[in-house]
Amino acid sequence: MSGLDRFDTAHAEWDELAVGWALRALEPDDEDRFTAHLRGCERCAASVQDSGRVLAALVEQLPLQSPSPQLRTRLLAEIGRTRRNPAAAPARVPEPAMPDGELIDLSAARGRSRTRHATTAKASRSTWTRISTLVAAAAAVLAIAGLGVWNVSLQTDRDAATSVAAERGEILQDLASAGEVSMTPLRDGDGRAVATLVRGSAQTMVMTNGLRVNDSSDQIYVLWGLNEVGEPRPLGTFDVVSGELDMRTVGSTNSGIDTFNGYAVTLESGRRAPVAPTLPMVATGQVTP
Amino acid sequence: MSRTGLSPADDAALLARLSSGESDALAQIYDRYHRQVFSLALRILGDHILAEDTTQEVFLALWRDPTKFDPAKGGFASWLLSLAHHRSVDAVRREESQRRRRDRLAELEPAALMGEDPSEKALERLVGADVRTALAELPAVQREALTLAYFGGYTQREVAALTGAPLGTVKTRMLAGMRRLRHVLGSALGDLPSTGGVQA
Repeated sequence: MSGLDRFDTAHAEWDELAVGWALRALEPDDEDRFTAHLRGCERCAASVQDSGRVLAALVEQLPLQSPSPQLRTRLLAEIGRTRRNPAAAPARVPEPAMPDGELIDLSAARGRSRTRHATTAKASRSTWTRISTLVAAAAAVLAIAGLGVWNVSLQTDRDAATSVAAERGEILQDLASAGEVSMTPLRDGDGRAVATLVRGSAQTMVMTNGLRVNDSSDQIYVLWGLNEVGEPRPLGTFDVVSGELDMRTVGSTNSGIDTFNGYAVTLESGRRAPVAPTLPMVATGQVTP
Repeated sequence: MSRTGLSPADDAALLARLSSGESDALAQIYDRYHRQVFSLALRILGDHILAEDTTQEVFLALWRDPTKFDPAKGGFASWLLSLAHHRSVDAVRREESQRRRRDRLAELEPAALMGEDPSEKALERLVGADVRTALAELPAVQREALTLAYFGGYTQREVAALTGAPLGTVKTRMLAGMRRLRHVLGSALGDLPSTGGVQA
């Protein structure tokens, strides 16, 4: 019997959330709860897999349509300019990331186990050998405050991810797998960097480290983009569930989220972003050249 | 994925080449699956340009890190479509401004007050005839909940607002509908590789 088919009253709520998760239809608080639950629940993993198969079957029944032929050309041209995360790059222990405001280049890191992945040496010799480990990511995270906006090239060392992520959770894995990212510290009224906006190649995340935990039943943090005259536009929402370092996805990056002059965060009543801030900004940050 | 007539072994061979950096492997994967990915994106986004952008984004994501697909968790085709769905939903929520989204909801809400079924109207816009056929055996309330979420990109709370049902009821309907749909599509599921969940 599949994960979807088993009835278990005690597990009913998780069964419902599993379907919502597969549909990408959960509210943020439910998504956070379920994501944490999913890591240790085989039943829910099976339910998610079952739902994925059902939904894929629905797509099979859509009338097929084709994109323009130029899309293929554009895609193949784009991959030549797209950085890859090597599947199994040699693990390295980098020097602590001490950026000077420019690119964080961790390629000079000491080798640790260069021979472990001899079969992937080709990939490791590519132009994208600025390999960082999650240890470096951790150092970068901790060094964010006061360093302005950087361009950071990070690629995942999966071996290191396994060991380090066990200690620091998936926050660092998210960061290290983000490819090229830029960061904007967001400071509170006292000048403390309480959050950092991380704009990666595919998504935007907010790392929080000092924002107070919100009531996820009737409050939500809203990320705003500020144009040249400071007019805010809502970009995404997130919850802060821990007073410690945490990372939250707030959206994707291919719709102009990186075109703003600055960013701000407000803590709003309700669970939706208003059209304009209704409460004072709790953190702001400016993009600097 | 039955429409491609390809086996999981074909996909596995291509993915192995892709992992080693062969761009031609990505081209072949694109040739196999781009219509499914694009059709799903177009259905959700309703905009040709956005759907093409999202399709490109999906294949670029695969190029960046093909190891995101874990064969131990299921088939590649279903994984790719899940990725396409997630990216499309993210895009529709991002691109559809707060105003447009409110208008879209408001457009339906007055109809509900007049006794019409807003979800049916939304369903008409969001779902084509072929998919309606596949969903026909579901109770209407379950069908509308699943369809609004999957093809409309609405959250459960938004589906509740659209249909006038309590949030908890929407969640229950989605689960029940998914269970029923699994049986309705049983034979089709047999043609699909088992799939793993996706964290796009």
